[in-house]
Order: sequence, then structure tokens, then C-alpha cells
Amino acid sequence: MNAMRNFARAVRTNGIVAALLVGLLGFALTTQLRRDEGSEFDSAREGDLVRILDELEGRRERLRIEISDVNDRLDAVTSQKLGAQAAVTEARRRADELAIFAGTVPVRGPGVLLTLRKDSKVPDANRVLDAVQELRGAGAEGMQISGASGETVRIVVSTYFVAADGGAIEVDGKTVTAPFVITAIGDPPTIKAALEIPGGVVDTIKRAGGRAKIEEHEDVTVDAVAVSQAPRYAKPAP
Amino acid sequence: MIVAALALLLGGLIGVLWNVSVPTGLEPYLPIAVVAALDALFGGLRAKLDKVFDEKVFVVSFIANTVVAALIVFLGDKLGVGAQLSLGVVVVLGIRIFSNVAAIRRHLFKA
Repeated sequence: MNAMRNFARAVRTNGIVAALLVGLLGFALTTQLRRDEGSEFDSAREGDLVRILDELEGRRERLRIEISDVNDRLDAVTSQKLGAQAAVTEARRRADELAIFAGTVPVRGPGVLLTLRKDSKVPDANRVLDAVQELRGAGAEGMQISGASGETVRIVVSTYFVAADGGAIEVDGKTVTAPFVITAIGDPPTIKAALEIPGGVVDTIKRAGGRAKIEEHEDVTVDAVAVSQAPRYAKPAP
Repeated sequence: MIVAALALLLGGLIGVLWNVSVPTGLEPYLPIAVVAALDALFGGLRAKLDKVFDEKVFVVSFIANTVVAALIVFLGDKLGVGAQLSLGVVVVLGIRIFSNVAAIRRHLFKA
């Protein structure tokens, strides 16, 4: 006890130490306050950090599920859109196909030029129709007939050939004079072979004294177009 | 007392200007230590106003408070009850600070 009292008397430092400690407190206080400008994680303790980590992991899990859900919805909508787009593309393709066959658009491609010459025996409407039918049978996809007079008529499903005066042929109301040139788009070798079979059009015309010439071409254009007409009587059957 | 106030301000100024980085090992305990030291400070202030201030008592209580508070929190972390113990320490220190401040208020404002 005495030792302690002696020590205490010796340590009487007139307030300097207290002031020093108070200064230290001020220093620590401001340092700690400045520290809080940084991340809150710097001064957190282990238990707190573990808790925060758990919370964050839970949130991440929930967000991941949400992301996956939203992605699924996006896929569904995109495939729907793609489906609609595909339907439109398909419809357009079909429309183009039908336009080719209906003769409402000019077409080009490999094909043949069938020239039926005027001689002592002129190929008549029947022969021309036969030729057209054979061409169709050989896979011709677009056809037009032109004559010396310069008239060119697109040959479509409803095209008719009627004999006219002076050895001409009336095609869909237009008069076409010999020699007739039928331009047909298709596979040239196939069409040529089909036309030249014994008993075929070329054979018959030659036998009757006329002349038929077939030229194969890499690229021919059928630029006459037919006016599309809505059917007056026929309707699609359900 | 003026000296103490000046010392506080000076210390604060140094802390603002001198951007010292706290060693990571001490970091979680600094806040508790500061609160404990604050408690000692208010205790000293009240003693001064009661005219029973003794520098020795102040110094010892300052150091003891700080060390004990940090020790308790450190021990609590090691035992796994860090959150609860630190909460307890903070509550007790807060109560003491409140009561000291109330006494100081009574002295200063006679109310």
C-alpha cells in the first residue's frame, strides 16, 4: 500500500498525461470517423461479415432464378416472333411461286426457244397448243409466245389459242403471226428431249411440212405478263 | 481543463490531417475503444465539475476502460459471442456516458 502511495506521489505529472490521453482520444476519434468514409466492411467483425455473405448469397440465388425465368420468357417471345416471321417469309415465298405460275411477274432462267416456222404448211392453233402442253409436261415454268408482228403474250393456265385470219393465231385476244417463237423457262435438255420424242410436236410439225427449231439457252427472260383475273364462278372448296 | 480541450482539438486536427491507416488487426476494436475512452472522458469532465477530479484516477480509468472494452470484444469474437458481447459493452458504456452527461448538464445549466 505504501509503495503504491509513493508511486502515485512520484507520478504527479500536473495534467500533462491526462492532456496527452485526451489528445490521443481526439486523434482516434477523427481517425475512426475518417475510416467510415471507406467501406463498411473494413470495420465489421467476422460474424457480421458471415451474415452479410449469407444474405448476399441468398439474394444472388433469387436473382439467378429470376434471370433464368426472364430468359425463358425472352426465348418464348423470340421464338414466337421467329415463328411469325417464318410464316411471313413462307407466305411471301408462296406468293412469288404462284405469281410465277400465274404469269403476273416477269421471270428469267435457263430455258429453250422453240421456233415454229411458216412454210407451205403453217403450224395452226392446235399444233401450237400441243406444243405448249408438251412444254408444260416437260416442266416449263414460264412461257410466252411471240410472233413476227412483235406481239408477245404470256402463256398461263387460262391462255387459249384460236385460229385467226391469214395464218395468224389469236392468243388471249392478241393476234400473233408466224413464225411463232415460244420462250419457255425450264431445264433445257429435258424440254428438248420431250419435244423431240417420236410422235411429239416437233415430229408432227416436221411431218406436216413445217419446221421447228429448238435452241437451248442458259438465261432467257419471259417478260410478258398476264393480267390476273379473279374467278367469277369458282370458289375454294372447304 | 482548457489544456484538455485544446489537446482534444489538437488531436482531432492531427487525425484529420494525418491520414494514417489503421492496422487491420486492430480495426474492429477501434470503435469500441473510442467509445470506452469517451466514457472515461465524460467521467473526468463530471469529476472536474464536481471538484473531485484527480488526474491519476482519470488516466487509470481511461486506460482501463479502453483496454477492458477491447479485451471483452476480442474475447467475445474468439468465443463466438462477439456480436452479443460487443452489444453489451456498448450498452453499458452508453448508459454511463448518458449518466455522466446528465450530471454535467445539471452542473452547467442548473437543470
